Amino acid sequence: TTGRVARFEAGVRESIREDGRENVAYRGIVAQRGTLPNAQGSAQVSLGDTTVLAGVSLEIGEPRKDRPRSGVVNVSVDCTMACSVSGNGWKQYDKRGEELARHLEKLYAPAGGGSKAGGARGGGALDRGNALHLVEGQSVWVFHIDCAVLSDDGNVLDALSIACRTALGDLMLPKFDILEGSEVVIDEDPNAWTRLDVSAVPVYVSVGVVGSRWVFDLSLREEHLCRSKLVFGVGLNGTDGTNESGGGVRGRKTQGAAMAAAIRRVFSAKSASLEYGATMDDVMEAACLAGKRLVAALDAAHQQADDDTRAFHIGI
Amino acid sequence: RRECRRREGAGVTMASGSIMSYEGLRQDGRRWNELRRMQCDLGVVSGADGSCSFTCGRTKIIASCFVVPLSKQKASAARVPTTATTAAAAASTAPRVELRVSWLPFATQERRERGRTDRQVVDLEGKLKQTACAMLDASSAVFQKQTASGRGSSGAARGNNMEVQIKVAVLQADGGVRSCCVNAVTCAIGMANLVCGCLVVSCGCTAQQLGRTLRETRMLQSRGEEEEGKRLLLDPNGAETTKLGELSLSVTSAADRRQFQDVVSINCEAKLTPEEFEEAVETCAEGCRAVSKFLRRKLLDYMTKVATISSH
Repeated sequence: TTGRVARFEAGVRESIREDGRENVAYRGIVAQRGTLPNAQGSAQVSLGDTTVLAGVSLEIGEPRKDRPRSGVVNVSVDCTMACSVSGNGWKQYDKRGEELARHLEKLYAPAGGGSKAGGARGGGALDRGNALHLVEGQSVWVFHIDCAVLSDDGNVLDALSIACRTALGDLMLPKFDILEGSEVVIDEDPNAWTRLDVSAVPVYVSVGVVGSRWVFDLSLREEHLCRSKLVFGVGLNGTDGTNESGGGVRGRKTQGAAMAAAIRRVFSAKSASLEYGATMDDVMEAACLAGKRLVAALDAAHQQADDDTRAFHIGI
Repeated sequence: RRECRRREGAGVTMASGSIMSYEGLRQDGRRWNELRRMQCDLGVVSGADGSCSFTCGRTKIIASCFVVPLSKQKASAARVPTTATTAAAAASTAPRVELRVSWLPFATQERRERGRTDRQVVDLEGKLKQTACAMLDASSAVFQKQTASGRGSSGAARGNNMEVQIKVAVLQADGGVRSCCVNAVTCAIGMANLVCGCLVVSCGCTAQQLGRTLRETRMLQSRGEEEEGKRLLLDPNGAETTKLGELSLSVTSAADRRQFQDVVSINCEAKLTPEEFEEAVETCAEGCRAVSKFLRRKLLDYMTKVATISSH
């Protein structure tokens, strides 16, 4: 496999990858909304051959103790269909699913302490632009996002985050009335329901780092060959960013009002932290740009599509 | 009033909540012996040896199949003999089957998470494993007849050092889930180019007779059709299954039509008298024949497509 790794790295230096793409090119993205009849909001997203399905179900539940006004998002990922056949038993699939679910939940979690500009509103990504509480402190909307990886050809996390965002965008929130005694009555008329505003929901951008160059949207084979990967959660507007340090690399907020703050996780740092050095900021900047464009393209395509055509393609 | 009803005959007059109208049509417009629309797409999971997305009405199942060499520990644990020429040893040359079913929470109308110990999941896993083993079992009579006539193996996984991993995901569940799963697994294994003795197809039908209200009986009497109409429905959808129970039948279907179908499994959760049971099984068998025709055509189309591509 050293030959393959060398070939991959040489290709990255020339910006030519196995399937002829450039380093910064994403595969064609197909996102369809409303694919599941039983879920309140659903989306099926394919990044090339990676296909992911997400369904959102709505419930009324109790809010978190420290956030009485924000909604609750629970994510579960089922990756039985995803590839890793190493014969170690089925628990591996469950673990991978749980890990993916945890990463996705972080996208919707409220910003932790130590957040800088952006105010101390402390809501999650969905809370900006939506009022998700029914009775403050007692009942809020609870979103259960269930994802399934149907086909794994690399970059599953990105696809999952896009699918969750699209599924939430497909969701219609019912109108409700609160009677006295904090009893909630749901308006049954579907025409009175409103769509969720998901413009503030971030999306994951996974970047593979080879030497001083970075590669977007790794396919499955490339994922095996690329030794260090970074994942950024990128939103459209300026969001509060939490900086986590892992593997000895510390973070810094990107400058510029137009840039989104980044949430960083170092996936497999190993000895690569020594190579980063000054290029870390460049990678972050590039990832933020890519994420912003991705999110903007998704929103634009959704707006054009309206309700007639539900499937659309993005080539970035 | 009778004339009024007949004039409305362009539409279907049904009492709300009734399973079948007076004209003999069900809620979705089918008659008692019509199957739902089936759709079978092969090759949906990239990287899998065989995969199939099987849709029957609103029930949608994805099955994928990987053929993997056995890791060393498993091989030694099973103590598989290394030489296999006698008929006795041939019984153990069927590849091992590992199967997992995941029933996704959004499959049913109400969201419900199903873990590994959920009754339906465990049940499905058991039945599907039976299916897969029946297909791949090298000691079945059909299989030996085929090899005797010289067709031989296609070079793929025959042998005791292979393991077949099958994964099934239930995406939408609207009645007939068991049958759909069996059909999907059959397609996935068929596409994976494994040596199979037969295809296993499955179909379901309601397990209880439709009750006739007094009014219905009088209606039919007035038309002189008192004995008309079977009362078992083929391929019930979700609502019909909850109301009337389901009996699902899996049979092997070989290429040779003259052979009788062998029953792989019958599952029923309702109580039936022996006559009703026979009638139900007969109905299902007819449905299975139709399903097997459909599956064969799909697999054949796929194989010809693959063959033409690779021959260029």
